[in-house]
Amino acid sequence: MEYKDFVELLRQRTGKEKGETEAMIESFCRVVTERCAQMDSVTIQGLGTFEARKKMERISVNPATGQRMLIPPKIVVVFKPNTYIKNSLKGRAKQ
Amino acid sequence: MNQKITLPDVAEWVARRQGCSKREAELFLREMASLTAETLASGEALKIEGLGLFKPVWVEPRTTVNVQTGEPFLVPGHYKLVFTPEKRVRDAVNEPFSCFSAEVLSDDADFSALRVTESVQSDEDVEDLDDESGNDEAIVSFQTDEELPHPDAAADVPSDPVAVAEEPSEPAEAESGDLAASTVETELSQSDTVADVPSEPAAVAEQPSEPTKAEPVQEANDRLGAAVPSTTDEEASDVSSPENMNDLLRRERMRGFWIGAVVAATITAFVLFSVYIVVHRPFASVDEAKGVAAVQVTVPATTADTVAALPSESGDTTRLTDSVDNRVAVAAVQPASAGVVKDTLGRGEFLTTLSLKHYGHKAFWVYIYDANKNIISNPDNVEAGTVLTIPPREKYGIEAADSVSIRKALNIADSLKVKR
Repeated sequence: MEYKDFVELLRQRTGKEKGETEAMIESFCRVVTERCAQMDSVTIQGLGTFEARKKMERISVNPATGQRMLIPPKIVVVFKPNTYIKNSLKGRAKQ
Repeated sequence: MNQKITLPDVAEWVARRQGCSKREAELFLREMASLTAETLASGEALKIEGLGLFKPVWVEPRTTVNVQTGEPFLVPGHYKLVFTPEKRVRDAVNEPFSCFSAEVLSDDADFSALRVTESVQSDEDVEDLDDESGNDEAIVSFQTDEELPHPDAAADVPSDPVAVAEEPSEPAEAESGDLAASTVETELSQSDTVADVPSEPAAVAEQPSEPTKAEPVQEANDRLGAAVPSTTDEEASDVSSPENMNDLLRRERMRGFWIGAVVAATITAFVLFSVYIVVHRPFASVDEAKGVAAVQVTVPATTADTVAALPSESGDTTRLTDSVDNRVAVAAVQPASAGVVKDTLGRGEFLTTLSLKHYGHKAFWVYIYDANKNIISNPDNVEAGTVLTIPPREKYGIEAADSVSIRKALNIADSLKVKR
């Protein structure tokens, strides 16, 4: 689903203006980003958890050239869907 | 830090940003969560701008073993949800490590050696060069240049005494009348070489462009010059007793050389340290703080060496005062550079934004609030356009790289919350 459709659906559900809906989503995204940047985990009931994970540095090898690269450590955002989303996706057949 | 945040908390923050009621924000977020969940559960991909892309990905069936029984079994193919954050989100979260980049390893590179110190040192140097402006760059390069002559000076000096030490062995076989003359000779040659030793730091002192750095070295040289005659005087008194004269002379001379070398090394280390402190005083990032820590570790080591090497020596006290002088000079420079900073709160900015901007971490907003208590009635809602005093870091011991300092600020924030 495209973002436009998502905003439209959400607007119908909440009965807010389009601009207001977008602003709300925007500030939600900002809050999640900010909290993850502080290494906190944000749990949204009915959706899942956004959290920041530390990844260690590692050496990766380009299989074509055999060149070794040192990949630096980094912090990434991961999203863990709740069991409802996970299970309903699992139950689906391949399309 | 590592807090678990739930929907009501998020709703509170969203409400604060949007200026709507908390209840309204919470209802909206619940609606949004359920819509997102429904969309994702139906197997559709969803892109939320400002956050990222949620996409179901097919995982092929594979065989694996039951860990308990060791029996192989088939994991059927299934969909799993993959979340790809937007670049903006990725960068914001990875900010502490943003200074790193992937590097190509050469084939013969010994990785175990790379990991320990060398690579860290060189990396920091490279980053320094990247980050600082041209003027600082010159100083950084000067630092690295400095480090070369200083071990050299130490290496040169021991080789000289060997040459000089061989000389007295000849007079030892000669007549006693000649001996007196030869000692005078060696004394002269020794004072020459000692004079050479300080001349090296003097040359070094001319290199740095900043006068503050040059002064301590000059001062120290003066002291060195004062210390040299005293040692030669001692030797003169030793000459009067003919027994073991050569041994005493040799030992005395060796000691003189070592004192000179060690003093030169210590002073160079102190100058480097003070330069480092002056240049890198605002420890903006973790790496710089690390660098400072590394310098701090090396400097005490050298000073400990000098103190251990020179017990009961008259020069000792002057050296200590030297180091004290250097420290005082450094301390005097620090407060001068930390003036009163003012900043205007822009639209959509919070105290936390200013804290992040000036101190490198949001938690320190409490100190900005503390310094502006008379202006700010409610720290959660400061009007845009308010001119705020940004207190110097030293006043509250603000250190973005230090988790203790951050925790302290967070605790203050909590107590503020409780008060209200």
